[in-house]
Amino acid sequence: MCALTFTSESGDPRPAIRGPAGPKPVSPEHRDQLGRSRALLWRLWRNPLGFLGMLVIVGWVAVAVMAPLLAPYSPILPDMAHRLVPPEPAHLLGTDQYGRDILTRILYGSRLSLSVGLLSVGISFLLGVPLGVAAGFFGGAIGQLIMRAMDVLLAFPSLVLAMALAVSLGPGLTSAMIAVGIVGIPDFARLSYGQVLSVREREFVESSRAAGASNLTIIWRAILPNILSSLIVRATLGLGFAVLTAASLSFLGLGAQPPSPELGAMISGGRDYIISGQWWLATFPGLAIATMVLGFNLTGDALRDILDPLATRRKG
Amino acid sequence: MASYVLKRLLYLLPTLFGVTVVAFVITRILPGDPALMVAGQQVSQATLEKVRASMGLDKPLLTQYFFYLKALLRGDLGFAWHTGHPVLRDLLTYFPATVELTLTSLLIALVLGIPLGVASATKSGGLLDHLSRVIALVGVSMPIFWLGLVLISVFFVTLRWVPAPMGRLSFAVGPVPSYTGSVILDSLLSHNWAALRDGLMHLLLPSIALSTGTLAIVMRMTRASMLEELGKDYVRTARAKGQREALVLYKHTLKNALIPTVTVIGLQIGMLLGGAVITETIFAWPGMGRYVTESIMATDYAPVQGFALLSAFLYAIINLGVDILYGFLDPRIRYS
Repeated sequence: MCALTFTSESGDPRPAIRGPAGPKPVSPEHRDQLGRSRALLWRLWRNPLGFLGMLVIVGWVAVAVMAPLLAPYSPILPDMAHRLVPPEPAHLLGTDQYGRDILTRILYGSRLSLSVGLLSVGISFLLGVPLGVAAGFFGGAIGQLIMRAMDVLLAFPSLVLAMALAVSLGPGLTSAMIAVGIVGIPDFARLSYGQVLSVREREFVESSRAAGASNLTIIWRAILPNILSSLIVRATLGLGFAVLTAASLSFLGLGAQPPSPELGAMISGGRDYIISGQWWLATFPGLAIATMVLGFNLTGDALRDILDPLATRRKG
Repeated sequence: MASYVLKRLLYLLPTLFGVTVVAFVITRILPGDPALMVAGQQVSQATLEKVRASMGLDKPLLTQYFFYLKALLRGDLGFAWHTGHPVLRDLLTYFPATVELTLTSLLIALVLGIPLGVASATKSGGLLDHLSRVIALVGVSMPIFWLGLVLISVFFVTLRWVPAPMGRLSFAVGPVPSYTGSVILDSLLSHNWAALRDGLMHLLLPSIALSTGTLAIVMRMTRASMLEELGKDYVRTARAKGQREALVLYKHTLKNALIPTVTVIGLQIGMLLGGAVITETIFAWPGMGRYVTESIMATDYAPVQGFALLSAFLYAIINLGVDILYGFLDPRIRYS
């Protein structure tokens, strides 16, 4: 997943460009009234790249939710009378080799990509964070064992591991989702492990221990809230990675199977038509993936600048 | 230094052991019948039973792992029935093409990424800096398979600047004698300039497609570590001495700033190996990656598992090399 971890504003002043909506600066009094998450959204809004990223994500989510309302045709049913029609008013992005409207398929495909992304990151998060937190909090032999196991998973190139897992689980979108989820586990585990180590000895943890709180309460009340911001950054960047990897698996024939309107599978299907000049079959689904992933990366990058300026500097 | 290298080598062993365990778990414990994978889908029940017995699948798991390890030590990565060869033999046949592609991509990423990173660090906050950040973000967001297809569509289909995206050499040029396995080096060695030109043109698009993600990372990494180094006292001293700026940047600062970049290069090898699977598929590049996708298409899965294991080994060994290099570049690492 290292592919998506950018280092950005390393100690230099924040870009002077304002977001398109450029709202006025908030007064300190006003900021105090805002809740933590609202304040976060506010700062994201005022960060030009974060604003752009959020705009893209919100746009894609809206498209995915409203796909049946927006789509002019069926995403699956062939229409052999209109095969390989180039982009024109009736088919804005053209049709594929079975006469299916590409715009329609992209609209439905965004549902698949977003849900696969969310579920995969959910798997990585729900398995990786508890493992990392347990290893960091309790330490000892078990902790060592967990972290060494994570190192071993990281020893595989991520796409290659995802391929091997997807093959064993049997090709299909669910397998791809699980495979991508498993590949992401060590990233979350390592991050939460490191974070727990850094907050474990802090005063607020000591004080809850002194107050007689159980381990679980300490983790839940004192530790998790303090490592959450790094996890959110990682999850946002992880979404981009998951969408991209799942699409790659589908492209290789290990994810969604035809006639599913999955974006990677659509590119794979349109591949042979590039040489004969029918560029629209593969180009538009690719643009869809690229913008979706860019949205997550922009937001994740901006979130890191906002939540974790020190980490950005430390990592260089 | 010797003890440092030795220590690193010792660290490698448990990782390699773990890798074999994971590879074993993936093939044996996950749902899906490994005998079916080895024998292929279209075989009779009796053959399947035979394969099952020959693979030791009727034995306890630990015994099975032991067999698996023993086979691995003999270099047995399974059998690819769609080619009719042992997987390892196939992988080694396709190995040089993959090495040529990934190394060229890495070279492109470094040659472009490091100077661009330095330039955006020195003009931090300027137009070039913003531009490079956007390019980097777009670079890692683009699916490689899509970029490859767009490159083909523009530079082959429309402009006809490059030969057909099929393999490493055109048929008209014919094969070159194989000394190193690299078409470029072999055509240089045999003074076959037509083949050299043709080979380079074939290599151009796939290596560009594969390099973009790495280029983006190298660029951002160099920028970030340059910025950090430029703020240090020795740079100020060098400048105060009246040292020329180019000398300050490239002689004093870059040398230190490159240390984190070296680590990133090691990590990028994994990404390049994964990306090679996709790039080779699109450009019909006869490497290990295309072999793996062809196996997937033929529902022949032993090569996929074999490739995963081999690439994890390669990845671990390359990172060992990087670690050693790192200790060489930065003596502090050796003694910590």
